[in-house]
Amino acid sequence: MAGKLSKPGSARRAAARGTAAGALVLTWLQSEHAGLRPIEPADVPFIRGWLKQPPVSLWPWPAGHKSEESDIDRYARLAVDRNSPALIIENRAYRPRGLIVLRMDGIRATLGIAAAGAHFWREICAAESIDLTVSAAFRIWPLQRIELLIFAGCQAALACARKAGFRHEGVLRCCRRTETSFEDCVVLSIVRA
Amino acid sequence: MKAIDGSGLRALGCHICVRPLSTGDARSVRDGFASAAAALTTRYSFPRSLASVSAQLELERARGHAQRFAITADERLIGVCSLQPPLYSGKELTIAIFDAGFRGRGVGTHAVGAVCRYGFQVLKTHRIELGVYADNHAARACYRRCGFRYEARLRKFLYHDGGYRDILWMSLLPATRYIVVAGERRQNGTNRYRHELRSPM
Ligand SMILES: CC(C)(COP(=O)(O)OP(=O)(O)OC[C@H]1O[C@@H](n2cnc3c(N)ncnc32)[C@H](O)[C@@H]1OP(=O)(O)O)[C@@H](O)C(=O)NCCC(=O)NCCS
Repeated sequence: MAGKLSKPGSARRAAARGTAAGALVLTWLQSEHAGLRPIEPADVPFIRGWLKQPPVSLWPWPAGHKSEESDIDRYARLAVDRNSPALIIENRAYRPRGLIVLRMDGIRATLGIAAAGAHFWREICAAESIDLTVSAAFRIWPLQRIELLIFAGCQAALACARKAGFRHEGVLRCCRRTETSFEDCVVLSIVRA
Repeated sequence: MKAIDGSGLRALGCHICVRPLSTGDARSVRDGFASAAAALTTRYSFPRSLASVSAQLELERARGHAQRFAITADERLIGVCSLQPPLYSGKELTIAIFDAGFRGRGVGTHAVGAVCRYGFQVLKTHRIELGVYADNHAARACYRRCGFRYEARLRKFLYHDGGYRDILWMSLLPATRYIVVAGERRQNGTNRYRHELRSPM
């Protein structure tokens, strides 16, 4: 399962933090190469560009990604929702690299990730941020299972999820519709030990 | 949906039919679920009042397309079947035959087939999925016979009778509707498909 959580970063590290929303927030969700901070309503326009990245992980709501406006509206609501934590992933240089969202459903939760750039999945902060989120979620909620759906063609995202401790459970056929095609999706999970 | 006769099931000695649930079925639906006749292999649910079951059926009727179906024997409700919003994609199928005397006699296979045809032809869904306990051999045999394919084992998916249980996830695609894009079959065996509607299932 997920690794240890490190202590909050130093004051210097916090002071150096310049975020999309201009927020300066230090959270306990820090590892060597990644930090997570809550999304603020002011981050939402910034996320707009991330949603335009080729999709790799399914959003954690069954209806999927409808339109940009509806996604932005959702994120604005997520920013103030206590039960669906949405966190901005930052790298060691405090640059925002993506967004990670958890959707809770009883003893299960689903992770959704939006990458700030195509290279995100190969960065060390990607696996570390997933690991941080999973550890925190198991610590906070009585969850048994956290799952992640990744488009079958995205090898980098699959490798990243495996590195973060997720185990392949199977392939869901024709699971996601794009404008011109259907894609198979790989379902991966991490369960409470 | 028009009622679909189980004409191949005449050997049962009664008339089996699959049709949309109506408000007149509320009492039988309430009693079927309250009796826990199917709960050992499905999810337990709290018993619900007649008023709430009726209100739910009325709401579904007002919405138009049927999503829940009665399985009847000589017009007596013996089970229900449904196409629900999916966990992953398409529609999720559920089925329970409350009257155990009608299990293992082909009724489930008939009902699943009828409801899937309705899902593909009328609701135009691109996929029908379902979850089943690994030790529910009758249900697995019934789904396999209807063309469902095993996709994944979802670990610790549900709490059931004192433990966390895995669920097998299965799906059915309308085979003639999807064409694997040439050159898009990947090394890991997964696919990208064009939405090509050649003919319904
Ligand atoms: C699951 C269910 C809907 C299936 O309906 P059914 O009418 O019993 O199914 P059918 O008779 O069409 O087919 C059952 C198949 O299982 C086989 N079967 C029955 N009992 C079996 C057992 N113990 N082991 C292995 N196979 C078994 C039958 O031989 C038949 O296969 P075949 O047609 O290849 O011979 C019904 O059994 C039911 O309602 N069970 C309780 C609720 C439930 O479990 N719902 C499903 C939740 S996923």
